[in-house]
Amino acid sequence: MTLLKIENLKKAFGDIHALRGVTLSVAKNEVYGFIGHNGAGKTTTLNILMSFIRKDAGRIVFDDEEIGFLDVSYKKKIGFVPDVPAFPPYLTGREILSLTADFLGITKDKTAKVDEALTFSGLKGVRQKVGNYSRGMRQRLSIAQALLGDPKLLVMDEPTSALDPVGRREVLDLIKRLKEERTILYSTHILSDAESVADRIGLIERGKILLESPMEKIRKAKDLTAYIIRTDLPAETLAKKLEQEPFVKETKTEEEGLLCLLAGEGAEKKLFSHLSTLDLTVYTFIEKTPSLEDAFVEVLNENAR
Amino acid sequence: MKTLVKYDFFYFLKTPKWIIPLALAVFLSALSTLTARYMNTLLEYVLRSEGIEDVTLPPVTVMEAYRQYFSNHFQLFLLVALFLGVHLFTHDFSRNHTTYLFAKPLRSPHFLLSKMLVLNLVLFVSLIVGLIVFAYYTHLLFDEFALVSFIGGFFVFFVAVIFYVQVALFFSVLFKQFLAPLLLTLVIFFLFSSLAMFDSGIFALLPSQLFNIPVAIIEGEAAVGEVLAAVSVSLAIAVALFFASNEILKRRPLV
Repeated sequence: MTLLKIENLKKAFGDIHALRGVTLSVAKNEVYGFIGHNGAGKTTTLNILMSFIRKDAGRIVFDDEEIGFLDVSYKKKIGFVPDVPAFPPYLTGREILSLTADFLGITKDKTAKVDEALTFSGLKGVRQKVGNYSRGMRQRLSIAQALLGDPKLLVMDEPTSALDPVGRREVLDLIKRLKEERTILYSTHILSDAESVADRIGLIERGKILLESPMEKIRKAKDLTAYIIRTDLPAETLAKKLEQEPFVKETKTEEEGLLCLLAGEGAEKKLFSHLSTLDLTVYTFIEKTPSLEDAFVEVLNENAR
Repeated sequence: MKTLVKYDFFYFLKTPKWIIPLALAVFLSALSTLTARYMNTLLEYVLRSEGIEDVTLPPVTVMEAYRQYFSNHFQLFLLVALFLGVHLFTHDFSRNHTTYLFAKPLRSPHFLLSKMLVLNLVLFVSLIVGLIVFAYYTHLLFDEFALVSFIGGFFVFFVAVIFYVQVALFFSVLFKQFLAPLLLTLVIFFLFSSLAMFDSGIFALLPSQLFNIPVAIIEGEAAVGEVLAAVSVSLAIAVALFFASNEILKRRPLV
């Protein structure tokens, strides 16, 4: 069941078209990895969703209701985690959460809920003011305040991008704990982060969604076997010889040699024996795990076919 | 709205900033009476020590204390209030607290109104404490204090505070950083203070008259109609600026 539907969203800043008709949907209880390079349009999409900026065109339907720019009531049902969270430095984490509870109109069991959020984020015993928090602690506080109202959707805008490796791991662990019980729209340019938390992925590039695909499909593409082969033949000639074989899915000339993507059972053996029948000398034969980028390209190509 | 007021009060109460207007109001109030009472004595002493014996300074009256009070408050208290105001109005934008705040279900007029209310309340309470100090010292040193007319003049001064604080809010929402709104508010402040010398025709209605009216009320020279006109026009401009600030906030990106 769809919780959030964004249709044909457009936004331009002067001559720059940041969004060129973004369409995506997030189903209930899924983690949607919203992936793209810096400047691809992820933050603009999320800023429009949160009514921080106006859209030029398109519509957003959340929880079966269309969102208008001046609407505020839907914000009770969305928890937002920005890339670099900022809180008044003179307040403690508990005071921030208590204020957040008041903003959200939480009166019943307010103290218990604040305690629960502090415990979840690992900030329970911390008495220092937010100004003295590390970036990781501030990000965990940001996640805690976003969860306080028990939101239907958690929107996270590159929550790990500004963190050191320790802070990043802490925040990713928190997100993994949330994964089972929450619907999350998780924006990132770090593919491995998306891979570790997302159920489905949307790839945005230059303000357009290029691909929406279940993570499982991406993983399958990533599981393709690939070899780098270098012989006394030029890579292009070798590619021509190999591409005719049914177990070779694709070839690509790279700096280290010819990248050969294989498909089907026993493809490695077939490739090896085929090479031995050719009149050539093999200098390099290395197995290579395709990167997530390769997997994306593969899924994109598959969709195009 | 209640939570926003609490949030903005934290800005003063969780930092030492609330002490600034309070300490300044008390200091200026005490200084005004003491200056009025002893300035001539000090001058005479200095002149005598320089060998100038034949200078006769006019006798000191309580009116000088009132003039000193309003002069000091217009020139110092109001300027410090504007510094504080611009910082309060812009720090949520410049420090990016807006992504935290506006991700919550709150409305832009409430965001602005809360800041205006809190700042004006902090300034008002500080001024009231200062007023008590001023009344005490004035009564002690001059044996009299014109409570009713002074309070009349005090409220006109506070209308000036509301007006310039609102000007600061308008420029703060327009620029969302500290320096430009502060400079522009100071330009408006100095422009109107220099126009205060003109008190006829259209000038009688302008907020510039707020500089003259408090003392005129105490001296019994203020016409009720003119006071009401200047106060009404100033408040009307302040209200218009508030709505304009809200429109700007709604139309421009929050982050």
